[in-house]
Amino acid sequence: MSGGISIWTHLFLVGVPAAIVVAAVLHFALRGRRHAG
Amino acid sequence: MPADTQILIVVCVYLALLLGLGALAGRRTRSAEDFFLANRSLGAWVTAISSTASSESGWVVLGAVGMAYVDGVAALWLAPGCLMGYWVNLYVLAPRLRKVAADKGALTLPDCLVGLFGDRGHLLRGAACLVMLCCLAGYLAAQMTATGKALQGVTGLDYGSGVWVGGAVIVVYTLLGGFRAVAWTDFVQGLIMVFALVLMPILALAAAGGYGATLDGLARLDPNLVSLGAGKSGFALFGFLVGLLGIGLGYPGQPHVITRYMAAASDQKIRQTQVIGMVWGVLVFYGAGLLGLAGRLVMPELGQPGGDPEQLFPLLARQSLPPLLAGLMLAAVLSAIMSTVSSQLLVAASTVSRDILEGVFRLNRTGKASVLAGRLAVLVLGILAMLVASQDVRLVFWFVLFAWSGLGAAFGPVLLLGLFTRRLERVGAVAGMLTGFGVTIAWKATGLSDAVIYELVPAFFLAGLVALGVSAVRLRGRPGAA
Repeated sequence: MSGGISIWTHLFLVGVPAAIVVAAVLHFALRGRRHAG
Repeated sequence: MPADTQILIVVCVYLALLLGLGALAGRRTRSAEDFFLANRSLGAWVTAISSTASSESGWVVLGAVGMAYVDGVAALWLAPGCLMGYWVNLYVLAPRLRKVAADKGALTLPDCLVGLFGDRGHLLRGAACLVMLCCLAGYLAAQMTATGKALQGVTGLDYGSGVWVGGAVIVVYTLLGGFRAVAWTDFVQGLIMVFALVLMPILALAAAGGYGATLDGLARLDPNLVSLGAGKSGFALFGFLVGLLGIGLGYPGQPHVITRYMAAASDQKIRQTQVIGMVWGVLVFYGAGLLGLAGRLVMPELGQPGGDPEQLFPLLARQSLPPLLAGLMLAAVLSAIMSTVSSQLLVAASTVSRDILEGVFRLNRTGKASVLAGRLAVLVLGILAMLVASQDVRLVFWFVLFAWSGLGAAFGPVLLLGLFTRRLERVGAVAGMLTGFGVTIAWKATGLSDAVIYELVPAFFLAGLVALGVSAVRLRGRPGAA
């Protein structure tokens, strides 16, 4: 990671997309289990 | 073999593949439900990727990349904005819309609206068709123009021939296979797009020295390029952010996108569609953004006078990849454009043949006649769009400016309110649609979009308020009204 760049910029560029993907996969997995149950 | 010849071969194979898929789908098309909705049989991957690919035109591989090149990190606000639109479409709208469309036997968006609110004197269907045709006509001609320009850039054909060759391929596969052909080809095109928008940013970031070095390099060029607000403040920052985030409001109202959910085979398929669509969207939007950021360092000459940052994707592909792979990347540009054109062409054709000829004038209501009328409408509208595009009529671009917002504001609020509340009725829905469409045009024409705020935001919320207000007045006193 580069030193002079704000942590918010890193979160915006990497954290937000990663969070969206994790949320979508988790939602699918949990709903799948609920339906299976 | 010269590089240009190899690229040309890849593009020809790609166009032949589209025609082959169209012919294959055509053999399975027997009824109106087949032609307009693939007999409600789409699987999760095709529903997800074809719907998302059709919503993103050449704008994502050319325009969004160029925007990140010019504005830096702040341009990536469009990604959460668009992904919010994806979320509403996939998680809120899609499950309910699929169910309502199946229950009511609806094949088109106007069918669905009539199923939800009822219709008398074809007021609702007529208003919906008017708005759709006004928006889609210009949109189609402009996308045909983009097809011609993309083929000109990729193959060296002159512009007019590019329009006719590209347009003919689109018209033929849409005409043969209807909705199934459009969904299958959009699926293939969506896969090519996501492959390209993963590979190209990786190459560009590597060439720029990696992720950290790219951000450092941009900060050295101009600190505003790595600022989340692009160096803006106050109302300018507010307008900038609302403009990018507000794009997402348009998604629930795009008929060529949401009809894919109506064609999904089951609720289970919709649940799988949700996760596939979201991951596709993240890869495509962040891929385009990161490509633009790294491209600023890799090809700085595009930012100089005479350079065009929107050409970063095709130029970098030609410059840094072996010809066959470059050909595939250039096919991705064509894919982005063609997937949108074919979807819009089919929706426009369904509006003419299914909603106007069958719904209003009660013609061609048997299966075979309905399919034939649909095919004729595709042919006639396709040729008209190619004629307008080949003349390069500037007026069509005025229509395009408000097409996304016009459709989004006219149909999004009415559809969401109609599916999830009982507070809307027929005349309120018509008032809401016309308000959304009218405010979009008025806002754009008076320059308020540039001076104040992106037209879709006020048009969307005003349309919802008017629809609710008119419905409340008309429902007052009715027994059983919500």
